Amino acid sequence: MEYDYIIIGAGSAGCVLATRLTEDPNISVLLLEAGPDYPEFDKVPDDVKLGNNMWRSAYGPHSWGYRATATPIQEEPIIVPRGKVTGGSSSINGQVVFRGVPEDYDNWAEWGNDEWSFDKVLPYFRKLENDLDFASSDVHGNDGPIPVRRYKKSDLLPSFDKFFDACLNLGFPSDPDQNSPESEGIGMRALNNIDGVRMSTAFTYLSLSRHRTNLTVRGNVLVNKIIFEGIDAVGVEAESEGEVFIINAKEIILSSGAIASPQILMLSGVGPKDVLEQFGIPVVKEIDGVGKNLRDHPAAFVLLRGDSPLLDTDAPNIQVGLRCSPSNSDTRADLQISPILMSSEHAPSSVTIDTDDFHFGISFALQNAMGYGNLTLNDSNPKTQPNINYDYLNNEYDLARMREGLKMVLDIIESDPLQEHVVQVVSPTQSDLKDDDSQNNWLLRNVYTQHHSSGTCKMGTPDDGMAVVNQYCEVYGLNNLRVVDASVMPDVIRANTNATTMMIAEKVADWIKNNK
Amino acid sequence: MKYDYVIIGGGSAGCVLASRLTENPNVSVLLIEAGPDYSDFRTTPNDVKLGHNMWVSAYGVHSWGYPAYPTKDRLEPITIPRGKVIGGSSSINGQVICRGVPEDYDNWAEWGNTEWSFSKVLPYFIKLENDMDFGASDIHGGDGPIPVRRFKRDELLPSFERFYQACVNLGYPEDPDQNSPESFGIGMRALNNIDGVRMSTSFTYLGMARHRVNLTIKGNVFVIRLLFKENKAIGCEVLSGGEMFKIFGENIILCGGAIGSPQLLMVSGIGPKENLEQYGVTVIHELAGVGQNLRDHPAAFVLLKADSIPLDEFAPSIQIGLTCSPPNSETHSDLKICPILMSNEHAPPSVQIDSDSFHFGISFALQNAIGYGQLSICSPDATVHPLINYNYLEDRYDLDRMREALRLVLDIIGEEPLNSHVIERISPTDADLLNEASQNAWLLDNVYTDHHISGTCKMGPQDDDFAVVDQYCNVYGMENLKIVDASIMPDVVRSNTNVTVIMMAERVADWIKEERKEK
Repeated sequence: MEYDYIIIGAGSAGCVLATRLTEDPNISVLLLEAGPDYPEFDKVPDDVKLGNNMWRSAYGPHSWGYRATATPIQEEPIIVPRGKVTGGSSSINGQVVFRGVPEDYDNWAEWGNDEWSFDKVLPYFRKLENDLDFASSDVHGNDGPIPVRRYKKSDLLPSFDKFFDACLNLGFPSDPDQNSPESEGIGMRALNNIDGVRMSTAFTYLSLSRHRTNLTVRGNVLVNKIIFEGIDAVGVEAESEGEVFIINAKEIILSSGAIASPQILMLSGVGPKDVLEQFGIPVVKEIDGVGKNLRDHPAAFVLLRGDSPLLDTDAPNIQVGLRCSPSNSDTRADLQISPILMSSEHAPSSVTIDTDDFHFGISFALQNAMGYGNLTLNDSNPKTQPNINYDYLNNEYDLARMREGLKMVLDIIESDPLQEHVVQVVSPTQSDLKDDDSQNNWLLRNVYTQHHSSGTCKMGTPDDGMAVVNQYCEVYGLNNLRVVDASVMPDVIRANTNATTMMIAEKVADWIKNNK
Repeated sequence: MKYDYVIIGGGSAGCVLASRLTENPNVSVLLIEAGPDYSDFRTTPNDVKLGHNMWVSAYGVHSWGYPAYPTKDRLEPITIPRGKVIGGSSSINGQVICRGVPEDYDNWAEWGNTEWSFSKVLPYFIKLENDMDFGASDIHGGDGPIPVRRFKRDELLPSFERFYQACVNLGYPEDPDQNSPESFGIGMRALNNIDGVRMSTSFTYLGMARHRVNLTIKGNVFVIRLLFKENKAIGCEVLSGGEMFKIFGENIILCGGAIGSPQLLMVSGIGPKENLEQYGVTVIHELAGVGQNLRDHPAAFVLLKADSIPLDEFAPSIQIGLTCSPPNSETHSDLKICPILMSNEHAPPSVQIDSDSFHFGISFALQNAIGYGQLSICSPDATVHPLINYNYLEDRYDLDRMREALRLVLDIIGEEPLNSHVIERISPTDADLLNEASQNAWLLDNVYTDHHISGTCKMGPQDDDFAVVDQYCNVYGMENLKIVDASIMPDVVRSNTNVTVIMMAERVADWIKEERKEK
């Protein structure tokens, strides 16, 4: 038996593709997910279902929990959450539905991917969403699968409200629609969270298609490798409860995310020759760019103790965000500053809070980092995590802007009405802030992931030695194989990556349906 | 895309076939079930998971609840439970693992189905079970998917213990192994219930296969009709989530049960010409036997109020059974008498209990009924229930033996230590028992299903006009179409049907695997 398509990874892209492709009842799709599949909403575990506490989800039982090197001076690896469950990272994320700025996509086009200009991607951003706050328009959609809403100012938690007003007092503009092409300033986050429920691609897209008999969704199936005959992808080798199965398809779509997609390619013999040879993997196709160009937003937290009673575990972690740029940046929207709830129980792995008092963090993350890392294998076992090295802030330009970002955060903290709310700045300490060197040191010790890994199978033109796929997401030099997920982004966009990943899947689904 | 096998019906046979056929990772199987699929044991609803209270399950939310007419004179239909859930009726049944007597299968062989003699089916009864009481032997299996156990004598509920002792006092032999070829008398029921859990074909057979990527299971998919290319079955059309889909397979295996299978054949154009034409179904292939030969065990209850406090809802409703024959029967093992717990909340719909005090029923069911009924369609739409007529006790010989059986039950009730336990016989009343005529009237008013419907697509040799499938379960006149479920039994076996259905699926699975090897 041969499926028309096997999609490897039921995540933010895979669920979109599975649903769109099976709209044609004559197309058969097998959607494989390494984590569990929860077909019944009632029986979905809380860490997946409930979205307000993103720490519980992202660092909970449905994450791959990849270990990665952040900078050479961090001795302990950081934990990189990626969803291992139907819906993928859209099932464990912070639910920020945030588009890049138009220049991000226009850059992709300028680099030779002319199908990805802002004008050409905007229809797919509209198609994927049902914006409950903004009526259907040139910018917004009202009948897509992903519901989007924003808190009202009167719904803000005190810390967030004071942050919001402090930003206004400092002169940042109010930003009523962060998905507008002109978005800038302090505004409500657009969230795919409805009444506390994380509206993942599993709950939205896949729910539209689960009944289709031409779609088969399989959880707890780990793909070991893609199988090739010559340069034709013909199937996958997968493990399910300890047994190995070979499954065939006319086309394979790799949607395993920016970490697992390059890993699976390499395990299948597609990647940099030195890596494949080092681990004794027969070379199917040498592609230097696989695993290179590991992009992310380097992020750090200023940790604060605030004047508030402890909040409920399910209080919303994220409500507002500031889109701005450090003064020493060459580009706009180069910085996101976002206050986020944290507690001794629920915090990112890099933050330790040792009292039960109310804490929150102010995250600041560089959106246009110049530096990038890379990803290779540790061995040839599909169950072994890949070797991930972010190499954050490895150049003075990134470091200088993060220092500037830190200063902007401190300015906000010192502005009213936030200032009176802050009992103590826990980190960085006064000595961390002493001079540029101590600030650099604090940044390099504390920089970590904003959870926006991307770029590891970048799209580009044939003459780009690092391109892995062409702009239609077809892997160079091989037949019947596409990569569709955050890994194909040539560079990370200046925003959270989830909405862009869904957009990419929507756009590629249209191409596949129209035989491009 | 084309599956190697499309199995229609994830029930007692379908789950077995799906599991066995996908042992070969190169064989792709789609298993379609009209009811929900519960893939996770922990979140399976209690009426499916918990087996002691069979009434909760059989007359609960996972049953098709087919309406059926028990006799020509009764105008109110009775309700026929059939499982509409993964595992099929093995997910809502009483879990009695009781084989027919050897003569049942030898009769099938004698009627031209030589592959189904007792000696040829016994290895498959052994293969399917893990008998936790007897272990592996000439007649028992120790490593099959279905675990089987029996209550110990000291675990019997007081009513059942007294019934048991009354039978012994009346001279019935003790029957330590009801699955022995020589079984006769009073004994513990062999049950596929472990610690209260109903070990359906879903929890057992499918549990071993769910991880296989070559097996696709689709619940809540209703098959509307089979698809043919000339006389070749090529797939089916289904309703899922309100949308229609077409599914294709190299081979179609119909496991819809003794009601679903003949109905689907008929709405797809295979069956008695008059019935099909009456509802405008285009005849693909005329087969007069489809829906005919509807077999079951006619059953009735003597309902008793007894001296006990009401029991917990999940007390075991079945523990023991008596195999015997009425004196006016020509065959052995023609009667099963079985005490069953009932309450005002949990009882078959034919039984009304209007107080909270402790009640139980003594079921008696004719195993070798001469009479049979018929199933026909009353719409070309597969979602409209078929017309089911059981015609119970229409035959005088059947009625006479049921009357005699009623007498045997009353004898047991009159015997100590049961007699002193019974406070009141609710039904039949003394007036019902007055004479033969009143007893006949009571029987005809109360006869209902022992839940062993079968025979509606009977197997038989080519010259049997009513045969629907040959002994290898291939539908006559068609290609790539098999039926494997209780519908193909030429006659019902003298026992509960579930384990025989599982046996048949095991046997056919082996044939299909052989067929593939030869190809």
